[in-house]
Amino acid sequence: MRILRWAIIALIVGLMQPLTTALWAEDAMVEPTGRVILTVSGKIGATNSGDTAQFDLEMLRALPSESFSTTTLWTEGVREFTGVPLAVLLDNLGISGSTVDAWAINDYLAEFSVSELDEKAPIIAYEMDGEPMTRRNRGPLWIVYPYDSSAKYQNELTYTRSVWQLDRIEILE
Amino acid sequence: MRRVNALLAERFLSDVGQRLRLGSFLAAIAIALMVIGVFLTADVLNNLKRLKDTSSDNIQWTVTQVEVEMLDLINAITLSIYEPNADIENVRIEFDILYTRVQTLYGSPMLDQITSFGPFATSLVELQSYLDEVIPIIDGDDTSLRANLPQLLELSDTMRLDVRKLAVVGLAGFAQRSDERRQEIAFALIRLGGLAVMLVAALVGLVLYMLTIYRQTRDTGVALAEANQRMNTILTTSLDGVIVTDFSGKIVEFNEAAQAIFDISETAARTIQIRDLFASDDLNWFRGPQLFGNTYPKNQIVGQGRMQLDAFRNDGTSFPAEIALQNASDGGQTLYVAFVRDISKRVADEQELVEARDRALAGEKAKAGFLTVMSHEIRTPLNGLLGNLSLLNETPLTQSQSQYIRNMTVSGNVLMRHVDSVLDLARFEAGKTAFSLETTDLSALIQNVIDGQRGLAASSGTDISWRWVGLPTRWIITDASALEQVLLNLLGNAIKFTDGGQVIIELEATPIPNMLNKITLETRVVDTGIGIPEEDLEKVFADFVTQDASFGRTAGGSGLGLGISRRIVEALGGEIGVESTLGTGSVFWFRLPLDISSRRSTHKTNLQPADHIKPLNILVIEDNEINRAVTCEMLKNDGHSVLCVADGASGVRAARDDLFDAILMDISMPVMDGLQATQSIRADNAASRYTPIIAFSANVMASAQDDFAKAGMNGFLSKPLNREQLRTTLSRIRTDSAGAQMWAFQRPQILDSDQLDSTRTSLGDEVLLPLVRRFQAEVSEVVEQLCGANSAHLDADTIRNLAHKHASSAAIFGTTALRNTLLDLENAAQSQNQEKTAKYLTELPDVWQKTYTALRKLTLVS
Repeated sequence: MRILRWAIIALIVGLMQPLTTALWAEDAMVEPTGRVILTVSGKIGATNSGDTAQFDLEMLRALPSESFSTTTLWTEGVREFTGVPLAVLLDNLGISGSTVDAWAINDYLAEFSVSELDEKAPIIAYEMDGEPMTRRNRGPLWIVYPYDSSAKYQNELTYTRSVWQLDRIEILE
Repeated sequence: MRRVNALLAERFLSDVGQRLRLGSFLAAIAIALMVIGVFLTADVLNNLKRLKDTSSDNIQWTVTQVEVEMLDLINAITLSIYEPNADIENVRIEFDILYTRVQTLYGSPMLDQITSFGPFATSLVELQSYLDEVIPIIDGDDTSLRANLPQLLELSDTMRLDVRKLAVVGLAGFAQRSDERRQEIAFALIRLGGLAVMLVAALVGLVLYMLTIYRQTRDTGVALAEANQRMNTILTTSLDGVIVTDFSGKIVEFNEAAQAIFDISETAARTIQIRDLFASDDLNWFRGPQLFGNTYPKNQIVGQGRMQLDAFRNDGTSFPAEIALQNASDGGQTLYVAFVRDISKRVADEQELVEARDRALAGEKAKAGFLTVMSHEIRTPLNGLLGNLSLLNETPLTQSQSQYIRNMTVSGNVLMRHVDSVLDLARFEAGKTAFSLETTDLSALIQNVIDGQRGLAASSGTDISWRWVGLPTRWIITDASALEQVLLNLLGNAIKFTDGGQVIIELEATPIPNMLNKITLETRVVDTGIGIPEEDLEKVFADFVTQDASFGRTAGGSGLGLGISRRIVEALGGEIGVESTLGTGSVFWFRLPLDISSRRSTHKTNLQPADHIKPLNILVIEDNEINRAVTCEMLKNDGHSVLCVADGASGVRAARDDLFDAILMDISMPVMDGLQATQSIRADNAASRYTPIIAFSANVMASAQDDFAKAGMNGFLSKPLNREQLRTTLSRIRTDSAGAQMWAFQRPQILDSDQLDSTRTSLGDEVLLPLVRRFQAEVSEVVEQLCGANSAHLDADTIRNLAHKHASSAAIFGTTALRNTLLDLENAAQSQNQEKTAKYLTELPDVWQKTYTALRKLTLVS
């Protein structure tokens, strides 16, 4: 029910917003040279592999990054996370949908409303404490929030959206 | 007011205080409950947070996911074994997923709770050791991994049961945990709820108490306000100014009356000190706060009742104020309350009264002065008239002329009496009445008075008589002339108001108990006249009262007679009164306390027949020509040799040159008045230096006579000159030894008891009495020597020596008369005056006889 409501709100807000300009919207998108670690599908403006946009680590690193230090429920101590904000990634892909599904390798799924995303959080982290994250250690990509910075990130919804071992994103209506 | 307010406030505060203690108790409870509430709430919040953490962590999801992902791994392994084409990487992915999940489980904040379940902890350890065991296999290359797949499958299958157990036990444990936690939350909520109920109850109680306190505060406030209002009303309506100051004298209250009195507004008054309002050092002790406790200087005004001070108005004018200052206590503070009254009107009224009194006194003085002047102005011409009448009467006259002269003399005497009455009154008013007490024959005195009035009584057909009631007491000591005057007044009055009736004088002597030789003499003048209405009885002794104005006028009363009588009787220590029945008659009575005389007076009567007068050498000094002529004629007619001079200076010259037996001296004279002339004669070494000088004046005021005496005069004759008075006075001079410095107007006493008593006190009877006997014997011998058969051949020196020797002895025993005679004799012998010497030698035996008798009485008594 809650997800449905968020989805409706996101839909309405999304429809009211003009389409964002995509980084690769008009040009042909670069193709991954290394191992593909993220595949974005659905209503996107830029693709590099069929209907999808595939990313290796280098491509993600090429995008504007964001860093913050925070504790998490799942790690010990304060950790510094670096990654590309989800909103930035989606902007660069010129998405036309308003709902985003983020999938993990074990097919765990979290749904975002585009309107809820901002320039800072969440990020798709690819480094923890300056080191790439292994798959065994919730890598290589982990959607994280700066939980310590604001109480608005300290709730169950945020925690369920903190998808680790992220490997797919699908843009829905 | 503050003090009342303070008391009210104090009571109020104590009430409130008690309630506040209850209130604060309640408040403390409420606060305690709230604190407990905070803790309980924190507890509940903590529990809720843990609940929230739990759900957020969602460890149950993780635990179940562990089983799912374990199965996924086993599936991937199985698939890789049986499908050689299958991507072996999936095995690695599934392993990593499982591994991450288990790490998540480890990293969970809830882990400590989970591991408290024994089976769960065991399973978890098993799982971890499995993971650690297979990591080398998983991390090996694809070939070795593929080779180890069966072993991996076996290991994984073995783990399945543990993972299953982990999930089941975990879930059960969590269920239990959740139940417990819910229970805890429920309990916490119940506690919180209970606490809330208690808190609410406490708050309700507190509110109720606050309401009660509020009501009581409001009631007390209303009472306080009413008391305040009352006090303000009292202060405002008080006619007295009320000033309240603090301990330093600074004004704190200043009511309307005070504002009106001082013309200062209350606001202005509050800025000043009370001592600024008054001109008094008594308020200077208000010197502001004292440094050393409350040791104020002792002040002269607090608690001293009403005091009069000068106060200042706002404009600087001063006015007399009455102030009463009291101290009071306002809680711990000393206050001073001053009640102030503007008494300028009262002071002015008092001043006016004093002035009125002064004016009245001045009026009285003027009256006395007027009377004095009148006495002079009336008596002087009257003197001339009556004197000339006397002279005229001695010329050959027809019978009718004699009758006219008698009539004129009667009228003149009546006028003189009236003037005398007024003067008597003035004398009594001046309070200078000196009585000369002497032994008096009461019977003779009364008989004289009766005889004098018999003619008057007979003319109205009234019979007058007198009698003793009880035993007669004939010889008494009193002022004969005063007594005579009273009797004359009463008798004259009785005759005046009795027509053809009877007037009787009754005398009754009553001994005073326990007082030797003292009696009360009651004299009653009883008439059968018209009587006095009862309502007038009170007034008859008042001045200027005649019983009936018209009748009084025809009867010729001055209205002063009874008033003067009353004054005389009272001055002599007696009382006077009247009883009367209208139409039947009146009884006027007076009572006097009197001494009985132990001896008879030799002085029988003042009246000296002209043929007994011995000629004297007299100097008359009088400026008024008529009076001078009258006086000189009178004296010459009586056979005296007279020198008449017209002024003081001539008189002084005459007195210096010749020795006179007496000098009659007028007082009011131009150039040198009588007093100056007297002083001059007394001071000069004049021949008449010791001659008696008799004042001769119309001024009969007692004060004037004092002045005469002070100037050195020895006697007094009032104008107009009365021949009988003149003769009497001169006879005294003749009788008493003249020429001595000690000459006294009074007849010298045979025995001066004062002098004798003084000697007796100093010597004692044992010594005195033999001396007295010796003195008696010696003087008897001397008298025999001087006056006896062989005295004719004595020479002047012998006489002088004998007289001189015994004169001093006579002084010691108080035998004044004897002494005077001896001194006179001594002087006469010394001056070789044979005539005078013979005269005194003649007198000596008689004087000695009396002296001897008196002394003998003394020795016998002793």
